[in-house]
Amino acid sequence: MKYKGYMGKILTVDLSSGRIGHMSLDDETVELYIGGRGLATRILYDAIEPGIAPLSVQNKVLFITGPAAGTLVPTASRFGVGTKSPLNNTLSVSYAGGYFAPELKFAGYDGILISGASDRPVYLYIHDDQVEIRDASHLWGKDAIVTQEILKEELGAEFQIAAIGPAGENLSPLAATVHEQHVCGRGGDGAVLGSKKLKAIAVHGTGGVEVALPVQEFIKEARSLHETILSNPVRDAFRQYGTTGMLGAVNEIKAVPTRNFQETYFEGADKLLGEVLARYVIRSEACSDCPVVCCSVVQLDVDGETYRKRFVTERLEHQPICALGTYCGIDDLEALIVANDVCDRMGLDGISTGATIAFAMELYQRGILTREQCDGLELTWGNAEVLVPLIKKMAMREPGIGALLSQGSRRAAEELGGEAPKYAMHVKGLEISAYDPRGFTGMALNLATAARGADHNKAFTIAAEFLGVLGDYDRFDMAPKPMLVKTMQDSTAVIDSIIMCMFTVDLGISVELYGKAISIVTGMDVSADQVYVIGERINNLERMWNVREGMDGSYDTLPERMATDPDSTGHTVDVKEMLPEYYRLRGWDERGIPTAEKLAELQIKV
Amino acid sequence: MIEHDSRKCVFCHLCEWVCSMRAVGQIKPTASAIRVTRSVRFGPIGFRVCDLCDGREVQACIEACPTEALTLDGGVVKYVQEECTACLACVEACPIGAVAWDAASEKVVICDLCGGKPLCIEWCPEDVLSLGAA
Repeated sequence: MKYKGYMGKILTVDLSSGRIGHMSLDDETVELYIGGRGLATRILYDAIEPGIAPLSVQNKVLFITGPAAGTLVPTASRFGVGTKSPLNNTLSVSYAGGYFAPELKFAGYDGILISGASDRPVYLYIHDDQVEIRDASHLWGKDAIVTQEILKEELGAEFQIAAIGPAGENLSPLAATVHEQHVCGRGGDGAVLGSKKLKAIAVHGTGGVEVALPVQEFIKEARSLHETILSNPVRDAFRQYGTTGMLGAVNEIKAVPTRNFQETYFEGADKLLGEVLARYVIRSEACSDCPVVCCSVVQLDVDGETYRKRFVTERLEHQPICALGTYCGIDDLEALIVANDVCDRMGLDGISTGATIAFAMELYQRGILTREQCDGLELTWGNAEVLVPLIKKMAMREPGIGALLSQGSRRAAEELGGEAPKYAMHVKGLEISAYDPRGFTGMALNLATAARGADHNKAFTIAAEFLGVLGDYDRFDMAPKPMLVKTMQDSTAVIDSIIMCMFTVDLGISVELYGKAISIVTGMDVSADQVYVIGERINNLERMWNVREGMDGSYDTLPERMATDPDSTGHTVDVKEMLPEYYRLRGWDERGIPTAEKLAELQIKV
Repeated sequence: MIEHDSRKCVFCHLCEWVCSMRAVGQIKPTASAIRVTRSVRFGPIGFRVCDLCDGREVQACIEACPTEALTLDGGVVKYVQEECTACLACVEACPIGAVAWDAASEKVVICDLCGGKPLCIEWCPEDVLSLGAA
């Protein structure tokens, strides 16, 4: 390859035959799709047959890095896990930081494409070019954190590990892949790995990553990206509170989903604020190559059934605090710290897990679910004691309430029938994250149109609609939102392809600078305009995946409640009012399908 | 020499990465003169970087070197690649594992304080590292 930053090859592992090989990257593909999310979308669109069942042997999983992983470009040491989602059939790529991505690059690979399925539990061992499919019977059934601890003990602390927990083994479509305590959260990739009986991947590399610019020049340019972040006042807020600083502010304007989106102000939020959580923090941690340092280690003393001793875990973030907390009317912070840790260990998406429990609580409130149907648990609002038992039942898919909820809110609602689907708060089957759409019309449009469903990180419009770090938009004014959402979805697709951390949007890294990050590493010349074109290409290809799977614009909806039930400030939102303009700006027809001209313009082969 | 307050370290690895970039022209932790290690999650963090054998008069790597490739020069161990026979005696001799060998560039990598303004100190986001007395 003429471009630097890449290792130039994807490791290929077929678990059915045991065959191990590699596929080469080519210059044209990375020019069009960069890496990370873009490259994963291109590779998986071509590699996965349309219409296959996500948990069948035909599905594939791609672990992917970006060209800037293992370089000095700040926050770029993230990896993605892409697959056909067992939750909703979309092409889902989920990301996590930590140390896995650079280690994979140092071992000589940009990614790992996993096909087939093993008939017994295995893990993948990678030490540079020594790659083996190894027995994992001793790991099966272990939680995702313990699995990593055992493998590090066996192989050495220099190995970086991504693993699934019991939820993935038991094929819950809410299951995630976990590295350290960083979770590739959404879309159910953990279940696909579970269906392949692949418990973990352990990697250690001794090589290096080359970049395009000469040494001194590269150090200078990368340093200036770091300085941009370090000198931004928001950096200290992230360092001190992670994302937990958001709750107080969003609750104050009454836009925090509460009791399954029946309300948007949580009276108990004061007990869950970042400042309160900060009391438990014992020290800070960073992902590789990150000057933001947003991770924190928290410690609490618990004397309960699950944890009888002093227990140390990672600080939970805004999303799980809300999903497990405000969505369920729970204001017991220590219970949330424990529940979040259990989600991570079980290998569950904390957002979808919390949102699905909140859904069950509303059904309980309305008498649709009875105590008997809930295995004797009282699913009343605010009852923190049900969290851990429910999460474990979901991860184990225990017959009864566990198996019902382990499917996510949409399928659980379909199984129950009757009125139940009205109370499932999802888009395209993916549960809604913690910014109420009625309070932010841009976020509403993003959640409705994002290809894989209600994912706030496909365009974090809160930065523009509320935080004021990307312009100053009225939260409720719909008129400018189609353009805002389109441009942010497009730039975000490139951030996910480098792969840089979404926090950098709030930390002074402009679209020009994302282009520059790619340029200094790869040697491609990527301007801000080109960032938007590349991002548009990725969003269109993701859209074409949905079209191929039979999902057109009729899936671009929010739950009915958003348009009919006012939030705690009296607002509703009907995304249908924004869709025609959004489709027009996108060059999509009235059914939300990209036109042939648009695909040709973007050089997309489908 | 580089001093470290490991309790403040956040495990970002930036010191390793920038060091290797200068030393061998790639981001390559195995070719860094400073290494950050941790054996268990949330556990204590260790550093491996030349401490001039704890300030003793004779440094193990220099003593082990059969040629003049390694010498003590202005408070740092100086490496001259042209004199090096790639015997790796220095790597083996270092009691703390602070001498790296990069096979690709056939170079020994050992902390030379970047000629006075160490990059690792500049790049550390948490003020873990500082320049101590030689």
